[in-house]
Amino acid sequence: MIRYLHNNQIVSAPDLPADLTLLDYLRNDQRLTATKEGCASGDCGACTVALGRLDESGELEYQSVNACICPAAELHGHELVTAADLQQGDTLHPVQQAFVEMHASQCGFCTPGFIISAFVLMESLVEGEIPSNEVASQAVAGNLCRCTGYGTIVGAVKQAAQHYESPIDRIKVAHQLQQIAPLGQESALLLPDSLEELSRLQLQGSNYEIIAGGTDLMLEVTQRLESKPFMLGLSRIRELQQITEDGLSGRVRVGAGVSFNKLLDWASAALPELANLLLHIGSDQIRNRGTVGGNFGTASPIGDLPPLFLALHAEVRLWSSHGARDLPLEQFFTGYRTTVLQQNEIIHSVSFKLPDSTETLVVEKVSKRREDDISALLLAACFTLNQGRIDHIALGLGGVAATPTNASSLAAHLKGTKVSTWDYASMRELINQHLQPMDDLRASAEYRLHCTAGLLLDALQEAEVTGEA
Amino acid sequence: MKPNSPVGLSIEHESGKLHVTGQARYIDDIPLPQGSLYAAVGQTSIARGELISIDLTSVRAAPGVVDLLTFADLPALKDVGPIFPGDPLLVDIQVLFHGQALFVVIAKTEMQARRAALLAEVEYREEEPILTLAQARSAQARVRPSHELLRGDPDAVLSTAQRVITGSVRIGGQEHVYLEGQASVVMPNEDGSLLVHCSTQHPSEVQKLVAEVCGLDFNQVCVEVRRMGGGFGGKESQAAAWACLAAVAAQRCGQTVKLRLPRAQDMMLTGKRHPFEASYQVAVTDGGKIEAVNAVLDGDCGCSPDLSDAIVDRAMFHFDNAYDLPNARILGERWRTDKVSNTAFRGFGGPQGMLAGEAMMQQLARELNLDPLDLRLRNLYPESGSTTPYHQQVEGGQLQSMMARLEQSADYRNRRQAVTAHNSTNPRHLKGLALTPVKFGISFTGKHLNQAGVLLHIYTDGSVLVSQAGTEMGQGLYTKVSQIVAAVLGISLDQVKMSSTRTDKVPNTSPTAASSGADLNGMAARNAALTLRERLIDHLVQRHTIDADSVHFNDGVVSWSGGEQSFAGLVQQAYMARISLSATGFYKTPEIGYDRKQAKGQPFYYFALGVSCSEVEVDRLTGMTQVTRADILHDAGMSLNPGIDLGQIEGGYVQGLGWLTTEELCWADDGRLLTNSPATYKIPAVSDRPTDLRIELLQEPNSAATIYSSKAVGEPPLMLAISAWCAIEDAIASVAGYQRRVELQAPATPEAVVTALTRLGSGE
Repeated sequence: MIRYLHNNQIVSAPDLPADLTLLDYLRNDQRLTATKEGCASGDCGACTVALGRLDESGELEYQSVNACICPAAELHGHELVTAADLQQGDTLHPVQQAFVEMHASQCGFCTPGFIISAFVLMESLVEGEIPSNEVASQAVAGNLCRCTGYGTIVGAVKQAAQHYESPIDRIKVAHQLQQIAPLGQESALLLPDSLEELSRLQLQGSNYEIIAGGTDLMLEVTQRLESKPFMLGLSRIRELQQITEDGLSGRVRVGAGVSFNKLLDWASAALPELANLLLHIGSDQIRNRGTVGGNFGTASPIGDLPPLFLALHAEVRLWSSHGARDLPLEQFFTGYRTTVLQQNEIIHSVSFKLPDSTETLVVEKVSKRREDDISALLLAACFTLNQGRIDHIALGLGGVAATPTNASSLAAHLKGTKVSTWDYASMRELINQHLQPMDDLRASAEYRLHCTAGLLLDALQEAEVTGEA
Repeated sequence: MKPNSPVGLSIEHESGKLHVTGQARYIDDIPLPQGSLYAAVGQTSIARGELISIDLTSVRAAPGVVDLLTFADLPALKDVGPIFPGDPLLVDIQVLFHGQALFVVIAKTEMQARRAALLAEVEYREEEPILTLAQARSAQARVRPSHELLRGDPDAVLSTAQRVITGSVRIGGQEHVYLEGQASVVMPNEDGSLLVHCSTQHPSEVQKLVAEVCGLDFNQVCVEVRRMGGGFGGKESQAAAWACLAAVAAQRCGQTVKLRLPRAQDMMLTGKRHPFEASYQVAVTDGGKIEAVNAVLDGDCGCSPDLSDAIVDRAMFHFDNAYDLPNARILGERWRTDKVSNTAFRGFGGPQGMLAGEAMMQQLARELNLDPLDLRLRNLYPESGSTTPYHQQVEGGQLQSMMARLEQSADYRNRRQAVTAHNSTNPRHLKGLALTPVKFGISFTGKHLNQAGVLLHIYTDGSVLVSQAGTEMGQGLYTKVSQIVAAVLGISLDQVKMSSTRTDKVPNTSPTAASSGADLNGMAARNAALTLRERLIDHLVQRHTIDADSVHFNDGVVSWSGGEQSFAGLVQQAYMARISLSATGFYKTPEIGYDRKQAKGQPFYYFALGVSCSEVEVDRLTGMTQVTRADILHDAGMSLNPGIDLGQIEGGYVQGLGWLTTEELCWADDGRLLTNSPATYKIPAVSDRPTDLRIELLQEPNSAATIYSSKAVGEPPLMLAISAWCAIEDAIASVAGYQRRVELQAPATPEAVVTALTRLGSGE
């Protein structure tokens, strides 16, 4: 029995299948059709709903989520807000009113999703804050519209922020959410809240599939039509939610359950290169659900985060009820979408050292579309130059092999050389010797080699110029 | 215009409030009766060959399955080709493309139907598919014969010209990505007749085909469309097959059946914009005046004719764009490939023809070392006395003044200098600039389609219900028509309700396409409203013995010399006097006609114009691009609704930008579509919009007699994005001093940009 808050009422939903999506639950079971299905793969945002939840300090926060790839049982303990829930009587919510006035809907199919993304932004603004074009755009970057060209939408988001008064009674909602007890064990999707609880559940049965944010795994349900009768979700395990910094060693440990957006909050100040990369991974909806551990565990050859963490010599900690083990990240991936993870073992965290002041960290993502697109190439390089000589260099590359790679032999070749000895032709020759990327629909091997050579050379040359200045 | 007329105002979209609250209903939102069933499509796994055997035992045994449909089960018509045959509903023997519909499963839930559809065991005799235009040309595989336009004597001029330049360009297709996929719900009535809810731009054709496929008379099928979640041409001919299959299923099972294509299937099973290859030989003076052109436009039609004849014609009609080509031969080829049949998409071939012409202009400018804008200005149609290659008169004055106006307002000359100076510093991020025109022909080139009807009722409380032929796909047609009716009857918009579009209200309608929706339906609605207004005036004249000319309808009040009365009051009196308060309105476009045998005539009632100037930044390392500024001056005549028209212009520009930059269709060697989801096929997101976008409406009356002197605005703005593609070309050209031809394909993906840079010898 899952329980959640909707329109000020606690709703109980018994016996939801583990692989039932939130969208199908709403549209088919509840016959609430305000939330639309555009792609069922988390790419278009038409199904965006907001989940209200209490953060660590008990504050209510709203997150946008793609309902099409979110398991319905993840509603438990949260408030659900759809575009149908925002108006008060005949009065439209300020976001809705602005969309109508600014001609920000044409065919209207994507509109409920945009309304929710804008609503979530409004609820995160401090009083009197008017979002910039960038902030307003960022808020709807995970919503595709094929009609408007977006200008009226961005305008409407900004207009709605003028004199925004939230219709949400935050204290009341928080109070209601606190009344909901943790999910029991009778659910087909189990959501343990501690590692201890996870151990206990794992002892009881082994036919569970592990799910983190589900932003990749749920596509097996919605696109390949697979059935997943029992799942064990990691999203609520407290120990996996931590980001800890050791001031002395400069090492940082990021829990596997940390969402992209939570990591982004941290990285904005601590590691801007990571923050910038995160902003170009998925969309707000994906970043709210997708986790660091999930991103490693899915072991995509592109890898969104792994290339950067490879360049930072990260270590990954794996956990099972028998104990934990640490290993260098480059040993974690064993092949195309395969890892060293054993049965009942999960990713616990990843740790790395922040670059020091002598090191330059460069991250470049190459894709057809800037936002919300899978990279053709992801290049991370962390290096130190000493009078134009490469004292140290570590690389991380996605999209050039079956797994994200640290291209150690390439890095070894570069180490000790002077930047000035390299030009495009020689760098390209070196890259050709060390990397064998594939042709696919995102790019040709030739293009990937070209970009790797050009971007790596540019990064080194830029750093040399900056260093001299 | 009368005082307080809503025409010309930025009235909000009639469904705006329903959109933002999620209450606007699309096909998948319609509540279904108990016992409704769901259909799913089983697909082929080869692109070309023959079906040897199909074993559906496991499909039939799957949970929830109620019934199956194969080709043999189709009761009557089996081919739904809209004009020519070639589009079988299901595979008979020959497989036409990878993923073609092979059978249909009907089950108790959508998921059960979809899962069962994966269980068929099928054997094929596979053949090597034809996937590219080069392969189609060498096999001489056509879906329709070629067609040619000829003006003057290009051969003679080309053979004696001092300078002849040749070139070519490859132009990609485009997937519609309407956010609402194809969907139909078919409900059988007590007498075997069918009510079809379908997301389609062409209800009458769906009605016709459902009837023919089910073996019914047309009057036994009613098709209803309240709105589509986007169309863009993708629901002109492509909606019918799924409605027909759902109808057959509903007929067999005696239950309501829904067939909704999931996104990946939608992208595989329905046609796209035609890819083209264009090549040209041009005779040109040193000063850049084009003397003669010989152009070939090779359209990739996919596996069947569908609408390709008219689409390739429209490409040919737009190769000239805004330029006077005194001697021109334009040959259009309709090549057949073993891919899904390509179809209508906003612009209907026009954008491809126009891009080919503009790519030619960029090349000429490089080879003559001219500013491309100067070359364009030199070749614009003169104010009078010229004709297109299909011999329609053109007057170039308005376009010339629009070009001059945007050149000034966008500060083209100063920015040209700044861009060139920036690029001369050999930066990583190159800049490019281009200013290009759009001249787009308005009318269906099939003359009979240029008609529309409206059914208008006034009820005794004075409220009005409008049923019209056109469909609403977000473009604001219903809003515009309601403005027109309210204006004619002098009532408020609140009193006018737009009915859904139904084939039992207005019969024998044309598709809502070719930008014609407001032109045709607006006029028909006006005519219907005028008819009823005349009846009301006649009644007043008889009752009060007054002069008919003195009667005015305004603000819900009818006034005449010596009296006035509320509109509702007058309506009530007219009812008591037994006057019919229901009327139809009809409109057909005058003056048009194209003689295809002679390749001469006036296919278009008028031209819609636009001018845009785009500036881009190009990362020369990765080829990634960003439009940093775009200035647009667009001609919607006297705009019926500036808010809606500005939305069409911006939306069109951004959609065109997607076609020309990020939207790339990729097929595997076996003919499988690789880009079959928004994860792999990238339409513009919010950040792809120009950082700085300035749009102005021309607001000058149409010289042709149109509804309130407006102009059609659906398709033309898409082609404004050609300036962005030309600006990317311009940025690339800078690395060779603007003096060498850039071999850039469309879409200018990052990789295509890098390829073009590398060919210029400066790929690093």
